[in-house]
Amino acid sequence: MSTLVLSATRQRNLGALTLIGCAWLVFVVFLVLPLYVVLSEAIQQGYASFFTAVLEPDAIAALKLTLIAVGISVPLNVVFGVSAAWCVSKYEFRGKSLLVTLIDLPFSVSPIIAGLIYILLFGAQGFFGEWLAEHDIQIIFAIPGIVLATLFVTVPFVARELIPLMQQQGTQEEEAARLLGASGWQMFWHVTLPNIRWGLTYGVVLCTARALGEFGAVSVVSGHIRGFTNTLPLHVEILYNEYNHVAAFSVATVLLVMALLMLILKQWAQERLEK
Amino acid sequence: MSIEVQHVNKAFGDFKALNEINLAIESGELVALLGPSGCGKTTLLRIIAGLEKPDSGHIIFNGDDVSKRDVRKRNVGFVFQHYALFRHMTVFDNVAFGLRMKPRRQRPSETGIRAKVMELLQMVQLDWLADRYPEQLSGGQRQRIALARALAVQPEILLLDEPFGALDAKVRKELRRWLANLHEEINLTSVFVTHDQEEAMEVADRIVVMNKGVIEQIGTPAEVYENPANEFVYHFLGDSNQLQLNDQQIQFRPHEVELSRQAAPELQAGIVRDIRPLGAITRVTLKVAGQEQPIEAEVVRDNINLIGLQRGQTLFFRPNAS
Repeated sequence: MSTLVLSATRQRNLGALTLIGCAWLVFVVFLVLPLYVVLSEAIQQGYASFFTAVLEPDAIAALKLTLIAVGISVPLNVVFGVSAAWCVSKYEFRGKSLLVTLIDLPFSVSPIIAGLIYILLFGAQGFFGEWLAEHDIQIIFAIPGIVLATLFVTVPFVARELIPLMQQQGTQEEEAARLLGASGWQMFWHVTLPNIRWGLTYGVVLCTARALGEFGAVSVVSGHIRGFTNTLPLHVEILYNEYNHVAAFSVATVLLVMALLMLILKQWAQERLEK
Repeated sequence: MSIEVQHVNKAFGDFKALNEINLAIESGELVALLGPSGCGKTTLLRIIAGLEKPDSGHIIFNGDDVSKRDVRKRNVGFVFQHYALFRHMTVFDNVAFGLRMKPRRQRPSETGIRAKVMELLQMVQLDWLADRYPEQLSGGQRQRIALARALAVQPEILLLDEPFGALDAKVRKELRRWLANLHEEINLTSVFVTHDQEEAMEVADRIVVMNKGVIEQIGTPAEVYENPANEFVYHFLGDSNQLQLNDQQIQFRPHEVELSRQAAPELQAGIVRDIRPLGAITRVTLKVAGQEQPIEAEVVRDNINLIGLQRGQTLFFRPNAS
């Protein structure tokens, strides 16, 4: 009897070990190995050429543009995400499920199509193209287009994270705050915001990570003008297409480091959230 | 502060939650809104507080029509069924919240706030928990903190939604007495919602019995129990027996019964199904021939007919409802 139980446990252990082994194998082959390649290619010709590639003016310009896109789109998404989550979780209204579906739209639409939508709207031959040209406003192949494209693809992150959290928390604490004399703003600042802060942090981190790395939508609207409308991911692509592998991988390393930082932040926020 | 509810109606979609509610509560009264779930009692409480807007009708505090007044201006203390304590704040900060939210001119100094909060915490006998967070407290403790928080802004009206619903029986009993005492000490007008008739009977000065969005009866516990206005009130306020006598249907409460071991013409026979000693009283369940529903008789535990009584024996009884 006891040997039977033992062999059953051993079998289960064997099964679990096989699964865990497979997971690690996939992880190593598809994630660790590429990371290793990026790093080793970057410093293949020594640190000097790594830093030259990273500190070159076009690379710096690309970094700046990426940070501008992140710096504008993330705060806007925080405002939008919190407002949308607030509406959806605290009020009943017509068209609520439609709103929730619309928030998810960027997840299901290919980023390339998102970019094309903006070309069709704001491009020279686009819907608003003539009017924009008359007023000398450039959106496509300029910074506003890049920010808009980044905004589009990152819209769901904050709202998606907050909606279930706020729905689960309900409205009673807010009602209690109102009953105790808090104004709308005081209620939001002292009760709602502290309750959602870790969920919000998590959403912001995901949103930032996506904004940093967005390629498709930005690629369509950017026009790839070096030093002007190139973000870091686009810069990497251009360098790579020019067979400048060392530089491409060096700039990719910068993106990678930022992504890892975001990952650590995400982990931290998630742990606080689960508490 | 007196509360008047005049011609209040409220519907949620097609569901009529409140139908022409009229109610006057005297200053200093402790009133229970009693009824089964879904009868509209919580909606009425929320309308008095200002958390819900009535479709029509008026709410009047001390002669002032407050129907249009915002929640935060009504100055009512409200205790939620699940307390709704601010989970990210300590007990101290929870109780201090109302004072800290006051406009700068009316706000006490930080030392003033500290003194006031500690006074309230002492009143609810939980000053030793000031630095804890709500999740570290037991249900009864949370309840008392929620009460202290509501009282911090010195409301003249205290509204409680199922204040004892989520507590275990013993804590519930203690808190009931404690609340009744507190109500006497600090002169408040209190309204609480409950579905538990025993709770309403034990705590309230007057009971408002509600059903399906209307008030069935208003009266003191003795009045509603002894002179129920209708069938619903009668059944809701206590257990009852139904007995088919000839062509007559008789209703009586389990304690309104006389027992005997000897047969007599005016007595009914029943077979003893169960004998339950419940402390001061003992409940005997009787099966009457030709009737599906058993009869429950409650008599004092030293009733002479109980001596040596066994299941399966025949016992004779007579309803002596007044």
